[in-house]
Parts: sequence; C-alpha cells; structure tokens
Amino acid sequence: MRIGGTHRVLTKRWDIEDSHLLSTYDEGERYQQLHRALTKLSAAEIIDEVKGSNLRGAGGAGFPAGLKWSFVPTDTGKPVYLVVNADEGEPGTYKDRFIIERDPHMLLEGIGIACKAIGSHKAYIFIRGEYTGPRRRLIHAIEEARAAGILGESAMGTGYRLDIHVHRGGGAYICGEETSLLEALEGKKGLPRVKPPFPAVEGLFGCPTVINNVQTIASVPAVMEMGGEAFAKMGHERCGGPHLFNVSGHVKWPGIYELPFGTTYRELIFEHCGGMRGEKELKAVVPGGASTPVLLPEELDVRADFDSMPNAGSMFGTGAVIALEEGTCMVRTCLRFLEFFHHESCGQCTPCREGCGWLAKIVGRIEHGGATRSDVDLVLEVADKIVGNTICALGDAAAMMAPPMVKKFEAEWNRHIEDEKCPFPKERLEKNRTPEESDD
Amino acid sequence: MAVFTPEEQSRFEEELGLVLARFPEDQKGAALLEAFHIVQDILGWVPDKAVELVARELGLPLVRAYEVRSFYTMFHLEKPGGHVLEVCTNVSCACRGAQEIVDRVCERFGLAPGETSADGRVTLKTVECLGSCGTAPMLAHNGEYVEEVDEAALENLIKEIEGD
Repeated sequence: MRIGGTHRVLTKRWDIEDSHLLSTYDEGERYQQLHRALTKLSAAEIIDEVKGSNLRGAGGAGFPAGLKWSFVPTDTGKPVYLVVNADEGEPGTYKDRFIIERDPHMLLEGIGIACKAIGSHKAYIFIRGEYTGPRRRLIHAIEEARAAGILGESAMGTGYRLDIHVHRGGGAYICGEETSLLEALEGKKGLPRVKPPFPAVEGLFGCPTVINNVQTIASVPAVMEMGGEAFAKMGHERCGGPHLFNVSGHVKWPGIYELPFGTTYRELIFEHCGGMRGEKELKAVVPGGASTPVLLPEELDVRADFDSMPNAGSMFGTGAVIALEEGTCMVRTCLRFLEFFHHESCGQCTPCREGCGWLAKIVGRIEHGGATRSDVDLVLEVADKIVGNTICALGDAAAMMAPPMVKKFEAEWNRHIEDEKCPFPKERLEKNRTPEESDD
Repeated sequence: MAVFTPEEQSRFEEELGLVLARFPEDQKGAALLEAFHIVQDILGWVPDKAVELVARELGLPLVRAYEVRSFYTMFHLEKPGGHVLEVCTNVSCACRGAQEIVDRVCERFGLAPGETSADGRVTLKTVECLGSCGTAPMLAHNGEYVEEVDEAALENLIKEIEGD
C-alpha cells in the first residue's frame, strides 16, 4: 500500500526509519508544543487556538474538537479524564492504526496538550484488542516518554502531573461509540448510554470526560505549532486541516492519502490512487466506512468534508473510501455490511437488534435465492422503522446505508430476484500481487 | 484444579496489579476486560474457572464477569488450536478474495468457520474488519497480521502450519 497525498502534516515522519522512536521524534522538536502548553499557555488559550483551527472529530461525527473541550466544567472537584478512542473498527478505516504504528509520540504530545486544555492529569487510550502490534508500539512510546521525564509526576519538569495508560478492548465495534467505550473502560458490556448527561459532564466513573479520536488528538501538536488559523486554512470552510483518507477496494494503489478536506472523491481516486486496478470501470464508492451511503461514479465531484457530504445524501464518516469495480455485486456488498451491523448491534434497543437481523435475513435471501419481489420494498420499510428509534447511531447507520444500495442499483436487485440467484462471479484472490500493487 | 500453575499465577497477579494501578481504588471492576486478556495471554482462552477467579479478585458479581466475557468476541470460550486464523471477511477484504482464503483453509484442514480441526492444530474464525483494509485481504495468525495475502502467500502459510 501507499502513503501519499499533497500534505505532510500528520504523516511527515512516516517515511523515516524508526519513526516510532522518541529519538526520531526528538529531532529538533522534542515535545516543544507540549512544553509551551504546560508553561506558557492557559487552558483557555489552547482551546481558542483549537477552536480557531476548525479541527473536527476524525472518528466519523466531525464534532468541532475545541468546542467539545470547552464543555468540560472545571469546578466540580472531581478529576477530569481524557479518553482517546483507538477502537478503530469502522469497516474500511485503518488510519489511526498507522498513526500509532508510525508516530506514536505525536499522539502522546497531542494527549498532553489536550489534558492541559481540559484540566486533566490522566488519559486512557482505549485501543481495540486486535491491535497487538500498535499496542506494543504505544506502550513502548509511553515507557520512553516516562523515562525521559516527559510524562509522570512533573511532566517535562513543569510540575504538571501527566499519566497516560493503554487499555485493551475486547472486540466489539460498538465500543467505538463514545459512551459505549466508557462502559467498556469501566469493565462492563459496551452498551451505549442515554445522553444527556453528556460525557463532558458525567463520563468515566461519573467524572467530566472528553473522548477524542486518535487522529483528532494527533493533529493537536500541528495546530499548536502552525497556529489555528493556518491549520484552518489548509482545509475547506469549517473543516480545518488535512485528513488521512484511508482508501481500499479495487483502486490501483490502496493506501493512506493525506489531503485537505474539500478534495473531491474523483481527485482522490483517479489522481492520487491511480484509478482502478487493471483499468476497469469504477462502479460504486463507499465514501466513509460501512455506515455511509454509497456514491455512484457520477456523484464523485462532491467535496470530501463533513459539511458538503450531507448535501450529496451521504456522510464523510472516517474518510474510509472503498472503491468497487464493475462486476462487484452490490447486493452482496450490502448484505456483508448488514451482517456486520447485525453482528455488532449491542442488543439494547429493539429496532436495531431485530431490525438489523431482519435486514440481513431479507437481503440474504435476495442474494442467495428464495426472495419474492416485495422483499426489496420490505428492506426499505424495515430500514425506515429503525431510523431515529435507537439510543446510538449504529442502527441508523445500517438503515441509512441499505436504501441507497437498493435505489441506486435497483435493476441489479430485481435481477437477483428474477434469477433466484446472484448473477455476479465470486471474488478471487490474486495469484501473485504485481509489484505495482504491493508498491510501498 | 487450580486455574494456573504457580508461575502463571504470579504472572497473572503481577500483570493485573499493573492494570489495577491505572484506576481509582474503588473502581477495580474497570480492570475486567484487561483481566480476561491477561488470562487469555497465559492460557490461550478464558475458561469458566478463570472467570470465577477474576470475579473474586475484582470483587464483582459472577454474572457481571460472565456477561462481559460473552459480550466481547475476542475471548475464546473453548481452548483453540495451536494456530488461530482469523480471516477478515468485511467488504474491503471480501472484494479482494477473502472468501477464497476461508474456503481454502476449510478444505485443507477439514473444518468449518468457528471450528478447530480434529487434530487440534488449527482454529478458523471469520471476523469483522481488523483495520487492515489498505493491505487487504488479510488474516491474523495467532494475533499477528498477515497482509496483502495472495495465492502464493496463502499456500505458504498453509504449508507452514501443516509442517508444524
């Protein structure tokens, strides 16, 4: 896979050998922004800088990071916690894993600055249990930072106590939802909480808590270094800075592309990723992970950012772009996503628990045979019953993903029913990956 | 039967102690997921006896420990084979041939997804996205990622396991 794009802000050290070590991070920078935050800046000044940067939550929701930080009350007498969401599980998404593997100290520095901004002395990085390699890197980086006096009782000799802990999840997509993550971190089943109260007021152990995605926090040192205004200018309108687009599927060069918000999906796929493998035609694009409605090839001129995508009837999500070539079965693709949501539903809300199951069952018989013509309408009807009727957004995601798959590829769905089977061939493994495709 | 050998017991206690130190003293239950991970790191799975031990150590009702073990998919409820293969079958991997990995492993080791081969050598699981979509298709072999799997790489892996 490739590391590419037009910007090198978050990826600037990724090509360096041993980019994960403190000795690499040290070169000229040595946690300078953290030192400045701890010695020269007030919490309000940091929050203002981040607000001005238009840094948006990169875990999918796009909530303005500075605004989120400003919600934390400072007078409760309770400890304040920062929780970093490294429970990356949205299908198609792998950017946070690479941040952790290639530049963990950038993340740790961001954590330190964020802690100062919200008055926290303790941060937990909740990492998905399957990320064994990234977790090793992270633990090593924390040990290095502790040994160097960057973390601990007096971070960088400033007297500010700063502890960072890594905590493993148990393999549940729902724990990427922030309140569910808090439940898991408290050692419980990952059932999302009803809001309010919001975590900023009542989060981990009932204390004020900010939960941020890995990329969001890892962007903070760059925001502080170049200033909020300059960071905002790199992006588009209210979405500041670059984003790490994680591209997969049938493009010629899958990989992570650091590009400004507002880049179009057409530019991303055809200019940066080299178009489709084997010069095949593009059929469909899942623009931001399994939860985001599919785009057709003629819809790719929409700008990739949190505010433009709703106008195109989709969502930016995590920037996990899955490009699918001609010959890919969209019923099967939809089914695979629905099976995923059914499997990952926590079971707390009936519309999601039952609805995702029914959607998978109905689409399953359309794909495998045994469906009737009314089943296509039934998919739309069941989806409609889920939206807005659950505590968290998992059910909504399934119910908003499926209808466009049906409506934009209706002929294909009808053909499945008429033929009583799937008309598309099975996907095959490649015999030997060509050097071009394994190009790193 | 004790859950652990004396050596394993001291490793468990030491590692759990480090986890507990992360949390406020009245929040020992927060260590539950990590405690199961530690058990699984040591034993390869999380047997009932270990659930009881963990619940006791953390002062939790038994039902809380059992429900958490079963909620999270990573914890093995049965002793798996020596080689655990977890194949991602979500869309980014599926569109690059993940099903063929599953089919080939099933055929060569005579098992179905979710099963352990009769000789106890291999356990196959199909799993959801493991965050390796740019290097799809992929699988995890005893927790370590094997990425950009093509026919040749799959054949090599199968031969390696067969020869073990």
